[in-house]
Amino acid sequence: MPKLRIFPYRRADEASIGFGAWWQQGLDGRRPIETLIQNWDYASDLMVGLGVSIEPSELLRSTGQSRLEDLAIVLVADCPASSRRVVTTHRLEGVVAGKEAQLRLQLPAGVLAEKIRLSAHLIVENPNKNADVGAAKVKGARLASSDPQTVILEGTASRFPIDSVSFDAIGYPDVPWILKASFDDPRDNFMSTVRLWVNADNAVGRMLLGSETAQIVANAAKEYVLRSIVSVLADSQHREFLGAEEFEEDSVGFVAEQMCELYIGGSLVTAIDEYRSDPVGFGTRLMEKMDPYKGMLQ
Amino acid sequence: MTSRGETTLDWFPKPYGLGDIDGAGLKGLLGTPNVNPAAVVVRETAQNSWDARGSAERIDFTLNVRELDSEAMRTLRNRVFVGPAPELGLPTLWERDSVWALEVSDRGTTGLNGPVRNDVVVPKGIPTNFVDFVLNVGAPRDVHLGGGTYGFGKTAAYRASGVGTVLIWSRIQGDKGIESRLIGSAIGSSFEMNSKRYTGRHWWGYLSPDGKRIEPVTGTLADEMGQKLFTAPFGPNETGTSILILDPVLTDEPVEQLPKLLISEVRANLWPKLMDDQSGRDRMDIHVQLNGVDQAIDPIASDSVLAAYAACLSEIRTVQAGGIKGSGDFAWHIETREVWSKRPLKLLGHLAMVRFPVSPFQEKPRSSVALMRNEAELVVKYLERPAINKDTVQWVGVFKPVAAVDDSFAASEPPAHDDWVPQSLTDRKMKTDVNVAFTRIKDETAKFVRSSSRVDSSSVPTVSGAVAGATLAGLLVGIEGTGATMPKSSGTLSTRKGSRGARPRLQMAPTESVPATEPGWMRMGVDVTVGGTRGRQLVEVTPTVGVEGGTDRGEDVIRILGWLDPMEGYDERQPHELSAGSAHRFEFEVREDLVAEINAKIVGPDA
Repeated sequence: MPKLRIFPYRRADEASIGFGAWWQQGLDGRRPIETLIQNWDYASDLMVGLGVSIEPSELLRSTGQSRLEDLAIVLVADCPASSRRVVTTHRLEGVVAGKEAQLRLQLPAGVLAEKIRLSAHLIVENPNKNADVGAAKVKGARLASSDPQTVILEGTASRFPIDSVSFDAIGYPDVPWILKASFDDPRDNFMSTVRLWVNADNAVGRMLLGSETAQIVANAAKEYVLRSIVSVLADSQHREFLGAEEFEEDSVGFVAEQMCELYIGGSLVTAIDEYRSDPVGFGTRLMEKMDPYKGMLQ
Repeated sequence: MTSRGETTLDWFPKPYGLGDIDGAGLKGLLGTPNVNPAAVVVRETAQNSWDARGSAERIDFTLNVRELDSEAMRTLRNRVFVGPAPELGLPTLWERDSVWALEVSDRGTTGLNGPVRNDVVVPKGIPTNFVDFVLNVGAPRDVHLGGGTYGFGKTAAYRASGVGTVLIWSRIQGDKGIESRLIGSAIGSSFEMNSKRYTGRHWWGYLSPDGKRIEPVTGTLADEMGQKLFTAPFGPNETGTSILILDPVLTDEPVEQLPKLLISEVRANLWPKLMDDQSGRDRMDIHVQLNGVDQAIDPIASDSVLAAYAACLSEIRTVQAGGIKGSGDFAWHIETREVWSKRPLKLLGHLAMVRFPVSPFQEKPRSSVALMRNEAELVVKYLERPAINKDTVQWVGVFKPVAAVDDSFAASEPPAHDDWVPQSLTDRKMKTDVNVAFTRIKDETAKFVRSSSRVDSSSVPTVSGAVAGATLAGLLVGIEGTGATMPKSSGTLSTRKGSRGARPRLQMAPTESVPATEPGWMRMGVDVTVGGTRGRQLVEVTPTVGVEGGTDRGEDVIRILGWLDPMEGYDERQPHELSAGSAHRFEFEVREDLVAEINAKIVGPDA
């Protein structure tokens, strides 16, 4: 069914304003947003944005407005699943004809879900009585809009539980990462009780957080995680559960068993026994099997 | 002197005497200011005018960039700037087809009053504005809480002239009533003439009978020449000063662009005088003109940075006047700090700071404190400080000393009044005042920036852990997570349906909107066309008004007129049978501030 919108005021000519493609900000710079938002953990704010270029004289002529300062560009992210709208307003000051400015919209942590619809609009911020006949004179009137873009935020891709944290802010030592394990016994859910805190202040920690550098330190982090989990499970309080029963999928015990078999070619119980009886030998075998410094040589 | 029946001025070149320096040295004597020439002229002339406001509650200050007409050129060449006046370049200037000037005028000021001779003792309390401005160099400030301290404005005007030459017309309140004074002055390079050396300083006026002094021409002659050569007139009892800067060289752009540059400098340096709220303060009404026509100076509110500076200054004015902090109406919270000296314990001034959203279109966000003196409120300099570590927020501040210590800051200013230099002070107490103020300003702004940075970081991590999570996903051996993935049901988000082949298509095109009969309403329409060239289709058009999250069809916002038949008028019946291939108009009226959304569909067997 065809639809048409008729605005009761003069709109901006296409030649007077250009909306570029949306991008997302990562540790390694900006990358274009396509269908998916990449590498967002939902626990941190995510900066997205798009480029906007303006031809001031053409914009004022076509809209009938008298001053750029009365206009603004609004960036909007609508999230149907959480019924949230995130908005930021950018005033049009210092516009240089033809020069693209990057406008930003900060998506807050923990409030958006499934997918969002991104759009940008040129609006009247301060209605001006001196505007031409037919010009929009109502605050918020949309003079131009970008094509909306819907992007997926989340899905089911496997992801190790990570928190990026400023260790300096919380008084932790300057190390790349620390494993935080809070399970009572190995039957607890792994994703809920185990997290790797990565130090955003530490150079090596930031390498693990960056898409261009993560692989360099990936094996070192994996080796640290496996060794730490084995060391925690080696505590006597967990002994009664190990080897005595089948762990449910997603449990700490299940994940630890899978890790040991995949990375060091033995059972969890064997790994724990070795850790207790010959910790140096266990560490040597981990290094041999997991090659923690492999990425640094490539 | 009289020439061809017209009275002319006398030329007086300054011969070398003991201790004299040449004109070029004089220009350099007061140092090179840190700001551009246009800024210097704006700052210094405005400062001189402000200091000369006397008891006036309001003065006018005008910068007029003008092309000299032939009458003015003739008068200047033949009656004012007479004599050989070597090394200035005046003969070359007169040969040009077009000569421009910058006329700087103030009205409501005291004018250049006081004695016209600098070789006689002046009793204390008698003003010396004329000799200080025209004859002396480096005269100290004589106005308590005044902005000017060295009379640098003199050389600023000469520097601005391509021929180092200015003409001054001033009206003052003399002992016998209003008195007019007119004198020309120039600074050029030294020269030799008739076996005698001259400094390069020139004056044109009335030469004393002994030929050793120059004085301004006065009375009728001064007014006759002034009216011919200046565009800003004096009212019958009006006092003030006009300065004509010949051949202004303040920009590489064509001289017609100079007003734009001057406006920019006025806004950057004199914004306190442009603030709407000057209640309880003396006013300076500023105009920038091109050939006598006022050029628009955008209000401060149109620039978020200037508006923020102005809000800070308003806050300080309120606090220093004993008012309540935070009583202004600026959109963003202003933090005000008292700046104290501990030993001795005394209040030095107030610092106000505000953070606000940055425009992504601005070249460089600001993070600086405007320093200004207590009463003059002219920007001395912008003290650059660290930015907030977030690219969507910027901050600015204003520091203004209290009146009791204003002299310390005045004394620390270099000739261009573009800095406070405590090292230049010999008075230990004054030096302490300025040093401590700077230290406190730096400390307080650093705290402000740190606290602003914390506001944005809060407890939310600034870096996503998603990359690390995906990198270590192999440890989980297939456990599902929350990483973004494409939906399994389809490869795209689109739910676009496939073509249904032969179904007829509708096209709509808006017609021109016109005001409706009832005020506040617009008449709108669409031309609806059924695709193809044959057959007829039943078509239904539904106009609505778009509102946030849906539509509205109430008669208080939209009224259907119907299908328009040129012969029969409107037909409201729906659906309406349309012949294929031709446009049919449907019209309606909508409140003028609302967006109309029109849906059209084919009903019946082909739908």
